[in-house]
Amino acid sequence: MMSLVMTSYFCGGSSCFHVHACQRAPLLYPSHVPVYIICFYKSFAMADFSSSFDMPSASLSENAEAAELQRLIAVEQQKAQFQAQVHNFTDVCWDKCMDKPSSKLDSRTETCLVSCVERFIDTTLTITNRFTQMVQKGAH
Amino acid sequence: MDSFGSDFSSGSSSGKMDTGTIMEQVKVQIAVANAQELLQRMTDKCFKKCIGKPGSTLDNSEQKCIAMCMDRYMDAWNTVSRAYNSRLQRERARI
Repeated sequence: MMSLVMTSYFCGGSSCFHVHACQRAPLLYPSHVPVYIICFYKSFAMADFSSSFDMPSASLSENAEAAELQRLIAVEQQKAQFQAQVHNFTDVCWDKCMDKPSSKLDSRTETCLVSCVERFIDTTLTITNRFTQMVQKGAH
Repeated sequence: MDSFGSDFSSGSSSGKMDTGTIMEQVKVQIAVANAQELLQRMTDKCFKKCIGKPGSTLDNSEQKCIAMCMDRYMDAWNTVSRAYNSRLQRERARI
């Protein structure tokens, strides 16, 4: 099932070792800084424990610490990606659903916002599936 | 883009940084960036909604409109967040 976070982790599957890989992030998340920050921290976590000049090789506890750090960072990254999506959806659905700003969010507008999110996701899935089919057909 | 915060060298001879400290910094910086993102988008939307022809100052009606708009934007953000969250949970339950 296609990930609902519409762009995959931009560092590609496993890790991003270099900060300039993280600088490609703005292409995917033009104004969302947290994902960029997480990539930086991830590459820091990877680099720190694999390229230290003082120690001949990373000890077991350092590897465990690095793994734990990566896991924690991955959790934060997921949260940040979720919030980036919420920002995008709110942006789009605000234009669709809000007329004049009033003193309270009435139920009609709230229903519209919820539907907007659902239909936007459905649209994304529809486009992805159909595009996949088109590409597969084109491959013959 | 401003610096990512404190310099990463620790005082200890091992050169390692404490996992807890790193995660604290990560969370704080993410929260700050998230707030900046929210404000940037909110400003964009509320300017479009509330300011017609820009005058020499923000008059009272414009200021009230901006205040209401901010509240509504945050309400909308929360609604969208809940809707997206439930959709994700529904999709995960299907797998």
